[in-house]
Amino acid sequence: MNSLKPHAAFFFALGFPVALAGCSTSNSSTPTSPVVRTSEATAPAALQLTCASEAATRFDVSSDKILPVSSRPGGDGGYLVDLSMDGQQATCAIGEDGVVTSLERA
Amino acid sequence: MSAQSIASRLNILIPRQKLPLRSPVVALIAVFCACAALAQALETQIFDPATRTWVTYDPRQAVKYYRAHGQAPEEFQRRIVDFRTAEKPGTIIIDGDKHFLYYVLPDFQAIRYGIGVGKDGFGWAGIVKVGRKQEWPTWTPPAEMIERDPKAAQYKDGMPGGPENPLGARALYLYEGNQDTIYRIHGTNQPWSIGLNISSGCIRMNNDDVTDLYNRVEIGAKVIVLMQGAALYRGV
Repeated sequence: MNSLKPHAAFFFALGFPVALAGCSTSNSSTPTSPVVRTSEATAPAALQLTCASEAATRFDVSSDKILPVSSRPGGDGGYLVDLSMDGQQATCAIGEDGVVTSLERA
Repeated sequence: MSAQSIASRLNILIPRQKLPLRSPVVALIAVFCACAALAQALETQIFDPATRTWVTYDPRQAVKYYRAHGQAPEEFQRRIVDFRTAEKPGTIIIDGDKHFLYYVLPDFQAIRYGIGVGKDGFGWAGIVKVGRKQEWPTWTPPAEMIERDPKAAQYKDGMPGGPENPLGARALYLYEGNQDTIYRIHGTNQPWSIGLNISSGCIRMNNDDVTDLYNRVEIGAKVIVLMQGAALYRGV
């Protein structure tokens, strides 16, 4: 049994880089479907709705009367979200972590 | 704008006897449609590895992709995602810009589906609800569509539900209060069109996805439609 150990070590040494190469090839070619994106960056829907929810609370407006109508990247990786609020407008700044940093009536 | 011309734009059946031409509802819809014509929808782009550039994912690209892969791009395949929201589980949230529909689950998760939305001028945003559900819905081309396309005349009394039906396997009828908005979330006989701005205002899904959603959603479920720059349905 002991005499097999050098052989095993040899084949292991030979096979290990091959196995790595296999993984490497698989990963580098990335044969997954092409990435899609939107022609303009907008805030994730969950963040837009967080802004709407915060506005409903802060301005005491029914949540059914507040809707995000546009959004765009803001500073520090966050977003600016424009809200239609029962006929009025408001702008919300929100971070990627979902924390609203400012909310003002337009 | 008449009720039938509105129906024609939306490519859907509106039972004529149920929609008087001069009803206030029609007037409101007409105003809405006029506003909607001003909207400019954001587009999907797809990365072309051959040229290493982003190209517009238009119907031609979409058909080409679907033929090569047998499905829409991976991003539009159904999956569970993290989704932190105060909206109740069972709520439907539509991100028309990114072409995603979210079905809110407990524990800050959601099922995300790929969708097709209204083409330029037909997009809309608002807060509505699911008022009715239908399996294998009948589709009837409006009179104006038949005038434009004589082939559609064979379905003037309604095209039975089935794989060739434009409404696909299931339809969720969107209501505001007790009024049909004339918009639907429905399946499609053009599965390649997911990810596109292509409909007349309805939200389209592939048949497997709309069937999955149909089985989960309850009548009365809240539906929030987000779409940048689109007309607001009934002025939210």
